[in-house]
Amino acid sequence: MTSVLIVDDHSMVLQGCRRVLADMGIEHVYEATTVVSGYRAFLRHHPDVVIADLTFQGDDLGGLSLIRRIASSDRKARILVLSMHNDPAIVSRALESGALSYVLKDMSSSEFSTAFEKVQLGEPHLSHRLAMQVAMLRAKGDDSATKDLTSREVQILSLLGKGNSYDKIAAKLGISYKTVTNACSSIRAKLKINTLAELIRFAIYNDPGRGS
Amino acid sequence: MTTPASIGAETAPDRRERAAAAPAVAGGRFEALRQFFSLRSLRTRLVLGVLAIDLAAAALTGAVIVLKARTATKLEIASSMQLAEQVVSDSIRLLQDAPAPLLLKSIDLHFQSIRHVKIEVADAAGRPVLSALNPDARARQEAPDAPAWFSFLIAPPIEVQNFPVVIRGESIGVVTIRSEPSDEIGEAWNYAYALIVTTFCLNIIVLGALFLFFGRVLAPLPRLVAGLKDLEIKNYAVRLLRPSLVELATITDHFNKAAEALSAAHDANRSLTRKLLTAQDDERRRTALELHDEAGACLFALEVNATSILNMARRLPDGAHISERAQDVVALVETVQGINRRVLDRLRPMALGQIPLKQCLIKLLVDLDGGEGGPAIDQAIGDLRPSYGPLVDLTIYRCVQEGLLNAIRHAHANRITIALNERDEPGLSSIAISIRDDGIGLRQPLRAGVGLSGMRERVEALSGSFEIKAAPGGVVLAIALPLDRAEAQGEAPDSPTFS
Repeated sequence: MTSVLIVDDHSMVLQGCRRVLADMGIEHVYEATTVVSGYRAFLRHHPDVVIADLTFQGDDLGGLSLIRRIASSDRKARILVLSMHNDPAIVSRALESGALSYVLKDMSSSEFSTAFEKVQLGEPHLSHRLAMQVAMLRAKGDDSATKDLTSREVQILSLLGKGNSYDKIAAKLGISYKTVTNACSSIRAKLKINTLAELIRFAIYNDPGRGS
Repeated sequence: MTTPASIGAETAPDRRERAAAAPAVAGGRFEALRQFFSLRSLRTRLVLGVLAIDLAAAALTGAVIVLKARTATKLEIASSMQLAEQVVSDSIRLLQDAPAPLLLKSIDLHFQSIRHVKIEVADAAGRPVLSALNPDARARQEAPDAPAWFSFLIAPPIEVQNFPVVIRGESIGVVTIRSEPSDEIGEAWNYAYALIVTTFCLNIIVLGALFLFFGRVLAPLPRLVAGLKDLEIKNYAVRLLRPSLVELATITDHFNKAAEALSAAHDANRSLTRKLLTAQDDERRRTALELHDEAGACLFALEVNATSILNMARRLPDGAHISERAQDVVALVETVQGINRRVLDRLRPMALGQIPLKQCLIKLLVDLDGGEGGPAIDQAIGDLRPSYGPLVDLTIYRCVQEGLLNAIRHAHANRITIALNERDEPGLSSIAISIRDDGIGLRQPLRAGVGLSGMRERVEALSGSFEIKAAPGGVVLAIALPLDRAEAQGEAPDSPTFS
């Protein structure tokens, strides 16, 4: 019997979550409306999955500290973030804090269900769009080796690391073969890499598109 | 405040000025000199006026001198001629008994001492009789030479009188008396010459003094012009020194008062705009928060419930019509969620104030970079504080956003480079934003979007500077935002937590 703790200061969200979970056959649900009570409930019940919002009344992104506290008290805690914040930087922070999945409140409930099922199994899940945005942000914003790359180059490098040929990359991105080869030589110049083999090696071990 | 059209209007002369700047520097010294001696300069005109009066006075004095000298010479000559006649006739009468050659010599000797006349004595045969007197003495008697023009102006007609020397009825010679005005003219010349030299020197000194004096008196005028130019470029802090002259002092007093009033009006205007912006931002933030937290939550619950109904109806044997309605509700809710997201995006970047500013900006760059065949964006964003207060944060964010959008939409650029740094100078730190593209350059007239001119307003309300200018191979948008230390601490309603 799966037990779930929902931490959100909106009664409507709590009710909505309960409905989805009920539809999935999960009846064992605990609720909390503040960060503090949420943490206490977690310690008391040790639920299988925690669904948490990030924003609480008078405490923007207070959910992040809740996630951190839960994650540090139980390394195996399965946390799903349900939030309105769609900024990849915030998504990224939530994942870094210990969340397994991040679902936006304005995504469809089937997306929510999918994410919940994954989290229940202890697998991470992120919608394709969010994952892409997080990856881009990391590639651009971090002081990593790939920060000088354009988003197109990051995409290409990522696909290269997954074993795609130039032809496939061109087809996937809807660009010409020539553009791909040009981008690759530009990437090599920026990363100071001499050969294609080295570039592929770099792409595999430094996949900028790997997200969380 | 600036309308889109006026940005273009500013840009056109800007360019021309810069093009003309190089030769202007080279010719600057010459220009200053030219202006200095220009007939249009008040100083030159004043000096020339005095010079004209001087020349008129000199002409008048000259005429008077000439007239007086003429009369004096005429009188002198007349009296000398009379004296000479007297002396000649007396001598002839007294020396009736003397031998003829002696007589003639004696007459000659006598008359050398009479001024302004020249006596020539000739014997009966017409040969000149010379006394023993040193010819040098004769020469010395002749006064210094006056210039020919001066002699011409003054000299009376030469008078000549012949006296036959008759002794005992016999003519033994002739005495010719010739009027000789040259020494008198010489004297007059001497006098005039001394006068000319003295007055010339005196006038040169006076004119020089006047030139310097006018220079000092009029010195406040160029300063006034510079001050007005400062006002023109909105440097309202300019104040002029009070000159000692009452008239100019009044002008500078009024100038300073006007500058003060302008400065006060400008400050008031700026603080009003600032208040307006703050109020607007607050309002937007409240609205956004409401939509984000409350409406978002409600729509989530609505969607979940509608989907739940849909799923239940699908399981019912005759639930087709219910599931149809439920499907409609789900679709509607999704539409409203989409609208909600778009309104939120337009209202305010929600992450601003929640996560460090730099991350918000990078997210923005990622969103705009290379999309749909657009230009690539290179960023060089330096270390920034997590937040500079809601007003400045949003201004920086919007400036970057609008600047990039403008370049993407209008410049047809391949590459946009954005640099953003905090500059810490003693007493004043500021944010410098530069967005450079390699596009088609400025179009005349430049059409800045509503977004960009709105940014200019925002930046100027925060006492910053906002400049769009052509750069080699594209356009640079340069924005500087001074930072208010108190505000930079983030003591704001939505004080960031950065947990």
